[in-house]
Amino acid sequence: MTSLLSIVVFVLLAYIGSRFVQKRPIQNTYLKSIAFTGIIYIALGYLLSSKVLNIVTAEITDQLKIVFSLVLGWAGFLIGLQTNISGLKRFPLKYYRYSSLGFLIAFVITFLLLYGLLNVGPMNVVDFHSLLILSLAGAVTSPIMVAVVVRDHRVQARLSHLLQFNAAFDNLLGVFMIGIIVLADAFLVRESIQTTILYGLVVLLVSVAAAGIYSALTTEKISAEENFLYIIGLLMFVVGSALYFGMSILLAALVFGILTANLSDNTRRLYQNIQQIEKPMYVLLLIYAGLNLRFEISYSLLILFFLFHILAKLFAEYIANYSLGKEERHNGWLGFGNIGMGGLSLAIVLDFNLIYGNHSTQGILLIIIVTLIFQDGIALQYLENRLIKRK
Amino acid sequence: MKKALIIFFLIVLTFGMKALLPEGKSLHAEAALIMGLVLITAYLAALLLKRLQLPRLTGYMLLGLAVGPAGLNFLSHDLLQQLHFLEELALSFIALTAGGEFKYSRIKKFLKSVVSQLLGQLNTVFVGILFLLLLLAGYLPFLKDLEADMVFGFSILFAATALSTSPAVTIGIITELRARGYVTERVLSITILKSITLVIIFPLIIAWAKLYLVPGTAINTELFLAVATQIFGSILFGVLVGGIIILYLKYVKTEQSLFLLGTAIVIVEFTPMLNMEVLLTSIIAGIVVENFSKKGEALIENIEKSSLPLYIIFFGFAGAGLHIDAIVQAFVLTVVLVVFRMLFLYIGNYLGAVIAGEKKIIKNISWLGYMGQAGIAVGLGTIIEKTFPGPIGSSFKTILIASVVINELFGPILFKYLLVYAKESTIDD
Repeated sequence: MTSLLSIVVFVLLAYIGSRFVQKRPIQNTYLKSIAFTGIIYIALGYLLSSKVLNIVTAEITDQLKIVFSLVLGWAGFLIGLQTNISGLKRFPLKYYRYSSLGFLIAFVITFLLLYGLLNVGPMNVVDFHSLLILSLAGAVTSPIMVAVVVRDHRVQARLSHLLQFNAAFDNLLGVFMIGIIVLADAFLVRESIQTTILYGLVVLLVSVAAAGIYSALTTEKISAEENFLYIIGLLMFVVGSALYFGMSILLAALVFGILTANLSDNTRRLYQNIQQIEKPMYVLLLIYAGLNLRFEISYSLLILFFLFHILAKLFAEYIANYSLGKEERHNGWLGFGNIGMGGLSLAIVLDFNLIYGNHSTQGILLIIIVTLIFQDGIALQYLENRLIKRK
Repeated sequence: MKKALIIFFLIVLTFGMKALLPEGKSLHAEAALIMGLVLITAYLAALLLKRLQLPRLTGYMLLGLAVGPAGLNFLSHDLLQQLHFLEELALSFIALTAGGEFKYSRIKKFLKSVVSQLLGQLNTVFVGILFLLLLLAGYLPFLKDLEADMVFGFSILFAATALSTSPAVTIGIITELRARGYVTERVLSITILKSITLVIIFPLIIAWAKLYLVPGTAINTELFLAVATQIFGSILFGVLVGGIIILYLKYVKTEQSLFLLGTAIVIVEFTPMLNMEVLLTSIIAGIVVENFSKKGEALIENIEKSSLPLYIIFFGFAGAGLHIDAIVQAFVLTVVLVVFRMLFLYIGNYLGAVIAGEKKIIKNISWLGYMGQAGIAVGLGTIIEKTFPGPIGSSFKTILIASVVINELFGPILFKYLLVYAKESTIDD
C-alpha cells in the first residue's frame, strides 16, 4: 500500500470509528474509559504496521512522517489556542501551586524511582532520556476523564473545577517540560550548548513570528478558507522548523497557539473553523502510535512504571493538596482521580520519537499505552464515585 | 506592503535557517518547512499580483518558480519528488471538480457549437503545427540532419502536444473568479471534452508516429485493444467511483470534503495499478455525480471552498518545475512555435464558431481560454525523451517544455482577461 492509500484507510477508520462511538453511548465505566483512550485505533495502527500485516510498510511510515508531524503540531497548537492568558487570571494562585507541585513531584518521584532501579537493578534496557520522557508522560493528567464525569453527571462544582484546571494546566507544563528536555538532551548529547541555544531561539522566533504574521493577516476581513489556509501554512512552517532543528514539535506549536490565542481577535472564529478536523487529527495520532508500537520491551520496567506512577501520583496529590490550605483542602485519595494520563502522554512520547526515532522510544510507547488503558479506567471509576452528587 | 514584507520576512527566515543548518535533521522536516513556506507566500504573492490584474494561479507559479530549483532552490528536486504525491492528489481533485462542472442538460443546448469549435481547434492546430515543422525542418538544428520519415514522425508528436489545453488552469481560473456565464460554460465544456478526446487519441498518435520513428513498427490490433481497454476501463472505473460518491451523498451526507479527498486518493492510487488514466477517471466520476445526483452542484461548491491549499500546491509545484533554462536554450524557435500555436488556435476556434453561428465574443476572443498547457504535454515530452535517448530526444523535449512553460505562464493571464472582458467574473477584483 502506498502512503496516499494509507491516509485514506486511516481517515476512513477515523471517520467510521468516530461515528460508531457517537451513535452508541457506553454505560460501563471501564469500557467508557477504554473507548476514550482510543485503544481501538492504536490496535488498528499496530495491525496495519510492518510488524504484523505489513500493509503500511516501514518505508511508508517514514514517508508519512510529514503528515504525522503536522498532526502532532495540531495537538500542541490546540492546547495553546485554548490558553487565554486573561482567562487564566481568573483562577486563584493556590490552584497554580496545587497543579505545579502535583506535576513536578509526580515527575521527579517517578523518574528517581525508575532511575534508581535502573542503576542498581538488572534492567539496563531503557536509556536515560527515554526514562525522562516516560516519567514526564506519566506526570500529565487526562483532562478527558474529568470532562466525561462532568458531562455525564451532576458533579460537585468546586472540586471538579479544581480538577479540570489541574488537568489543563499540567498539560501545559508537560509540553513546556518536553521542550526543555529535548533542548537539554540536544546540548548534552548531540550539539554544543551554543548551537542548541541558537537552534532553540530560531524555533522560538519562528513560532512567535508565525503568530505575529497570523495576527497581521487577520486584521483585515478574510474568508473561512483563507483563515484555514493561513493556520495550516503557518503551522506547517512552525512544525517544519522544529523538526528541522531537532526541537520539540509540541512546544513550538504550543507557543504558536498561545500567542495566536492572545494576539489575535479572531480566535473564536478560528476555533469554530478548525474544530471539525480535531477528531480525525486525534485519531491519526493514535494510529501513528500503533504504527510505532513495539512489544520487545522490558516487562519488569512496565510493571514498575505502572506501580511507581500510581505511587508518585498519590504522593504528589497529597503534597499538592496540603499546599491548598486548610479551607480548600479535600479529604481522601484524590490522587487516584489524577492517574489517568490521556492523549497528551502519547503525544509527548511520539514527539520524542519523531526526533530520535529509536527502538527504546518506541518501546516506552507500549508502557504508556498499557498504563493508560488500566489507569484511565481506575481514574474514571474513582472520579465518578467521588464527584457525583448523591441524591 | 504588509503582504510583501511578510513574504520577504519568511523567505529571509527560511534562507537563514538553511544557512544555519543546510541539510536539516531530515528530508521530511525540510518538506514540512518548505510546504508551509509555499502555502503562505504563494497565496500572499497571488494577492499582491491581483493588483496588477494577474490571476492568482500566476502568483502561485511565480512564487513556485522563485523558490524552486531555478530560483532559491528551497523546493529542490529531491523535495519535489518527495512531495509528488500531493501534486497528483491535487490533479485528481481538480479533475473531479472539472467533471463536476459538466452538466449535460445545460451543455446540450450548445453542444453543436462545442463540438464544432473543438473539431476546429484540434484539426487546425494539429495540421498547422505539423506543416510548420515540416517547412522549418531544414532550418532546425535537431531536425535538419534527420531522414524525412523521422522528421515526419517528430512533427506528428510535436503537433499532438500542441493540442492540449490544461483543465487545471481552466478550472482554477473559473474557481478563482467564481465565473459563471456564456463564455465560461463554453470554454469549460470544450476544455473537458478536449481532455477526454486527447486521452483517447494520444496513444494512437504515438503509435502512428512510431511507424516513422522506429523502423519495423507496424500498426497491430493488439495496440488498439490495449488502448480500448485502457479507455473503457478508465470510463467504467470513473462511473463506479461516481456511483459511490452519489450513494455517499444520498445516505451518509456528512464530511463531504473529507470523503472526496479520500476518493481522489483512491483514484490516484488505483488507476496506475489497473493501467488506467487518472485524468479520464476523475473527470468521468465528476460528470457522473453532477448529472445523476441532485446534490452534485452543492458538492462541487463544497469542494471549491476547501480546495485552496490544493491549487496552491499544484500550481506552486508546477512553477517550481518550470524549466526556464529550456527557454534560454531555444528562445527564438520556442517563441515562433508559441505564436503559431496561438494563431492556429485562433483560426480553428474562429472557423468552428462561425460554422456553429456563435456570438462575436466566442468567434473573436474565446481562443484566449485555450492557451494554458501543463502536465500532459510535459509527460509526453518525457516519453519521447525516453523513447529516443540522446541529443534528438533531449532537444525535442527542451523545445517542447520551453513552449509549455510560456503557455503555462501566459495561459491563466489570458483566460482571466477573457472572463473579465466577458463580464463573467463574479468577484470584485
